[in-house]
Amino acid sequence: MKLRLISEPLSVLAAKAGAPHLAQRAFTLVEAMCSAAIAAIVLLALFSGLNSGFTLTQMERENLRATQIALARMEGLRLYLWSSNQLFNPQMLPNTFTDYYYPSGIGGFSSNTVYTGSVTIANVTLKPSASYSTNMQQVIVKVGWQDAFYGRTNYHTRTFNTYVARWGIQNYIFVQQ
Amino acid sequence: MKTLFPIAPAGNAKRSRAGWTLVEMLVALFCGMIILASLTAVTVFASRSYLAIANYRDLDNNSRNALDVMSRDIRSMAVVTSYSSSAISLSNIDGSTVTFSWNPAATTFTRTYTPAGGTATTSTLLTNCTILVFQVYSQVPTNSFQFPSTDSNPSETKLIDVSWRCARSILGGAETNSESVQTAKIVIRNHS
Repeated sequence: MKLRLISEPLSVLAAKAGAPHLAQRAFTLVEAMCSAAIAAIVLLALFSGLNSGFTLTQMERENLRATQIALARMEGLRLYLWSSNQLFNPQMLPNTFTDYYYPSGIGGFSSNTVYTGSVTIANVTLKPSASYSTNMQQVIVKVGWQDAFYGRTNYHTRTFNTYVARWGIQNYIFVQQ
Repeated sequence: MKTLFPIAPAGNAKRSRAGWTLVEMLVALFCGMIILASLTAVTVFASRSYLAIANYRDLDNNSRNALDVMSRDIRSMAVVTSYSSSAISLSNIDGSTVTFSWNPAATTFTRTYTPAGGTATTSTLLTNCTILVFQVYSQVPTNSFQFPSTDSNPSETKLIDVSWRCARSILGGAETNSESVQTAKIVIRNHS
């Protein structure tokens, strides 16, 4: 394409209107293709940006549910007594568990992320050491899940840590000893 | 340079008064319609997306606030005085009471607090709450992190489980992109 500077008076231009150069100018194929390519890139960027935003939101929602599930486990743990029948009994406090994005009470939705969790109870090592450390246990609740965003399987985990004290709140709540 | 549709033979004296042919007009209209349609589609999609994310942020904000308020209230209460799967009432040692109630028709979740010897105040914690379920349990755990239900004797309750889902639909579309799911277990910590 040739650019041409218009430096003539309008009357002169009008007189030349019949000239093929000025009257029949249109977009060339290259121009049209360039503009189409630019439009395609802009649209693609817009869509992928929105899509990425949605994906991140969905991942955050699953993340948030994972914290709720771990937290519910922790809260239930408050009712467990320091005894071989309850806190230290894997039958009563299973080492692994399963939960869902849509909990049992409000289920019935099609896509339901599965969360697999584990509960570990371990001895506590304090630094500096303290005599009461034998009256404490560390509880680790770990929740893992997977999703399939960005065309691949992604694995996620969240871990909560807490200490359980032998003479802790459960004795205050229930006075059952 | 040659145009795709020559308007008039080059050098024609009446060139400046030439109009568009029907074919040119139709092609131009067709192209314009395609461009307009795609622009409309992009605009609607973008609006929906932003609306969905804004909705989700709003619903989640409300859900978190509701759970904070409920946790604070329930933990400091002493006993459950009445229970159903959509409503629960508790009272404290000093005589103050609190009731949480879900209204399925209005899809609202409300808190009514009555201080000892005072007047009740009601506030709405959640709107667009499509489902909410309370469950009540007693204190002694049984197998596999289960607790015995206290449906029939609510005053024995020590553990309250609550689940809800809030959702809004956008421009009549699916709700799934603007919903908030929340579950929690709350232990009653006060006792007489």
